[in-house]
Amino acid sequence: MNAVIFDLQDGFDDDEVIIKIDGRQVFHKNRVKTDLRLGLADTFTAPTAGGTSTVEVAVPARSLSETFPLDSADSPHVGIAVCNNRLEVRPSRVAFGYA
Amino acid sequence: MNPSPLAQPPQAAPVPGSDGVPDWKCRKEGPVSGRYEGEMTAPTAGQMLLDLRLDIDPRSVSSPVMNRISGDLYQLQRITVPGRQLTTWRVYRESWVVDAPVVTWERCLVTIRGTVRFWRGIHPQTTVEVRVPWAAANPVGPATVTFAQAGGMTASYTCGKKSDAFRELTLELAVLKSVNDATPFRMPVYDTHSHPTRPVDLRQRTLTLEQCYLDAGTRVTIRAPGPTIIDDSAPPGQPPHSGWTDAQLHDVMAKYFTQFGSNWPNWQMWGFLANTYQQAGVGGIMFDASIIPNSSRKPNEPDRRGFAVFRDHEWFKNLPASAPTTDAQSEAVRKFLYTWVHEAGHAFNFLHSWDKNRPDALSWMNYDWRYDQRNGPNKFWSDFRFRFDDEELIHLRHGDRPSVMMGGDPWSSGGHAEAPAAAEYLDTPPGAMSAPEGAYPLELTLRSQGYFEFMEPVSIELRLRNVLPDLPLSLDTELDPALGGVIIHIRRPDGRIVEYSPLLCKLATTTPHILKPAPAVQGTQTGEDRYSQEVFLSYGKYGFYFDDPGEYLVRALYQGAGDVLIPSNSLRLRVGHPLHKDQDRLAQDFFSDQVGVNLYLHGSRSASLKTGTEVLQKIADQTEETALQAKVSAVLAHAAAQPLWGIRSSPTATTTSASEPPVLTLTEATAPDFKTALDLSKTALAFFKANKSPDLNLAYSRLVRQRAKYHLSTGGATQKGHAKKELASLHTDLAARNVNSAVLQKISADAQAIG
Repeated sequence: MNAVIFDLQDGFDDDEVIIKIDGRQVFHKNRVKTDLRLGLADTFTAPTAGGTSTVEVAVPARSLSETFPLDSADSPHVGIAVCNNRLEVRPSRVAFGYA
Repeated sequence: MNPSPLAQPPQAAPVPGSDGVPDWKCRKEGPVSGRYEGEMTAPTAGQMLLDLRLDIDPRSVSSPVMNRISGDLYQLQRITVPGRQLTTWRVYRESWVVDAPVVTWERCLVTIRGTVRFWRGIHPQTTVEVRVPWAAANPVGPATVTFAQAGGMTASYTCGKKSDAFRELTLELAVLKSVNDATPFRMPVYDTHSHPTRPVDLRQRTLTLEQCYLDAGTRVTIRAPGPTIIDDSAPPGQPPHSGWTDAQLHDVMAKYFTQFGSNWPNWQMWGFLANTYQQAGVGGIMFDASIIPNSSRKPNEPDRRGFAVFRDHEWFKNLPASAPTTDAQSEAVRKFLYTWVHEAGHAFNFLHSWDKNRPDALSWMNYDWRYDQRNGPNKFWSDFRFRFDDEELIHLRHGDRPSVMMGGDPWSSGGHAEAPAAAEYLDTPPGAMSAPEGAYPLELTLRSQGYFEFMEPVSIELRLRNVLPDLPLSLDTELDPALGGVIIHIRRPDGRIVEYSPLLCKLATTTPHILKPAPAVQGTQTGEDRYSQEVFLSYGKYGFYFDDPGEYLVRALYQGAGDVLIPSNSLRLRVGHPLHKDQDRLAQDFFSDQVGVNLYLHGSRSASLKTGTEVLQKIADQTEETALQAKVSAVLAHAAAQPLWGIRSSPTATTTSASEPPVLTLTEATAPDFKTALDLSKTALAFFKANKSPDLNLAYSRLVRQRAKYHLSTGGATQKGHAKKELASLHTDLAARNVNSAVLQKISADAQAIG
């Protein structure tokens, strides 16, 4: 089983966030809020089947959504941020660090 | 070079003149830039002190010039007692900056002129001229500083050079024993050429946290003798605690930081090397911030005093015990240095670069991976020159003092943007941010209940305390703002800071009160070193001050008879929302001048305030027992117990002429009604008795004394008995609440005096 670590990064302000992988909900939380000291709101690990999956991220109250393909072998870390009223996806081969 | 549009090169070196002074006599020993300090010379010598920062020429090749001058103004205070050491202290008043100084270099002198911008408050247009002379073999200076206000007022200072740095602070270190046992504690030391990914023209030098901050303009001194080793030994077979939370980090700081109990704000910082944070991806955190819910912080605690770095983070796994020998080790040392400087930067009130709309800043406050995502792989370390960006340097060197200093303004409030656009309405009255430094003789403490119901009258306790160990102080202890000895500032929920203006201004002779020295010495009884007074603040000259639900901060400045200046703590209180729709509707009638004046006067039976009295009566008649109802009932009771006087006009007996003025007679229109007063104050008495908060002690005590008078005024042995009984009950209740013995003795004496 492969896994992807999602980091919800900057721009979240008491938001409801829903994330699905291949149609399966892997994250649903209300009141997601960025800690300005770190630029990080939340982090979680989601199992994937391997290969390329389709990831859907939604922030319903702001009518924001983004769908993107993700290869967990190439990008086991994904940062998601709200920037300029749109969702920004930041896939990464290495773990993000915060300070 | 890092793009530096704000940095200005120093003016060209002076050319030899024709004034006959040989060139060698004008050789300057070091930079003009740095920190100067000196007292006012005119109009009142020694009244004020100026901490001056000049940033007009290079302090070193690694320290960019920001072309600014700035300063902090302090009021100087002294107590001279023959035969004793002079007691002096200074009270911070406000800060200013000149954003675009005009600098004129001459052979032995530089003159700097510009328009002064005060960070807070409203001031007349002010300009400043600073003249700094130098001569060979002498230190630069002193600087002669002259402020000129529109209208002609001037003030002058003479300031000697104190340092090449603009600010100075002490950093105290601590490390977990388990971390120190694994690898002995060592602050980062980084050779800028030890890793190949760097700007091609980067100068080779050795960087430490102290050097990085000295480049930025702040001298950091690590507190001797070295880091505190915090024993985290776990029971045998168990690993030491890891996954630290903000609350746990705060607890450790409260226990081990030797300066934790000092006066804040302060140029003191605490850095802690722990193992891991609760979120594994976090390499360091400035945990001391009130915006983050943290159960271990007290409500009024200041921000930005401490930070932590996590040694077991992935970033630091290759940290060597001594000098690095591989790129991986160099990278770890570089990241270790970055994390220490970055977290200390948060304590100076820096946000991250992207939160300041500068995501491409090559700064200690940016993230390498965020920069690289926008600019390409490894671009951050290829371009980074180990410095803060210009805006950050301006904040660090010239920002508003409370916004920079540890324990000052809350984290992220202002940062380097102390005067955001369109924030003019947030003007702060001068003095609102005052803070004492040095051995001040008096302490002024504000206390109140932390929560007030919507519409509940707000009164706070002001307590003056002599903190001198061996000297009694004779003071004007009238703390009512109406008498001018105390100024009160209120920060409203919208951030606006207003000065409380009493409805009435009273002129009175001072009534000196002697506060004995602190009770530890000379047999002073507990309580004789202090004086408390409750002050009503709900309503004043400009209406209601606590009419919006939300958080308020209250701060006072005691100036007595004008010979001292002592700022208080900041008192945080919250005003609740209306409990139900009817109360919200009632607010329309309550927040009126009729009710406000009634409350201010502590009740009135005047016909001209009848409408307000009726609103208060409506609240008192409510069956729901609330603090609002209790306090309003006490006000109505007080009014009932007062005689109402009126002026009656009648023709004189000896004249019949219509042109003669009538005789005006002051007569008692309505007699005091003590029985009604007792009835009205019954619910208030029950409320104060049941609510054991120490913040209500003064109000409770005042009400019982009032009721004792009402009882005695109605006459009869039974009423005397009631008065004594209520005073005895007050004594018992306050003793249980650990009220000091002087207050309890006074209550006993009052009861005995009844006979």
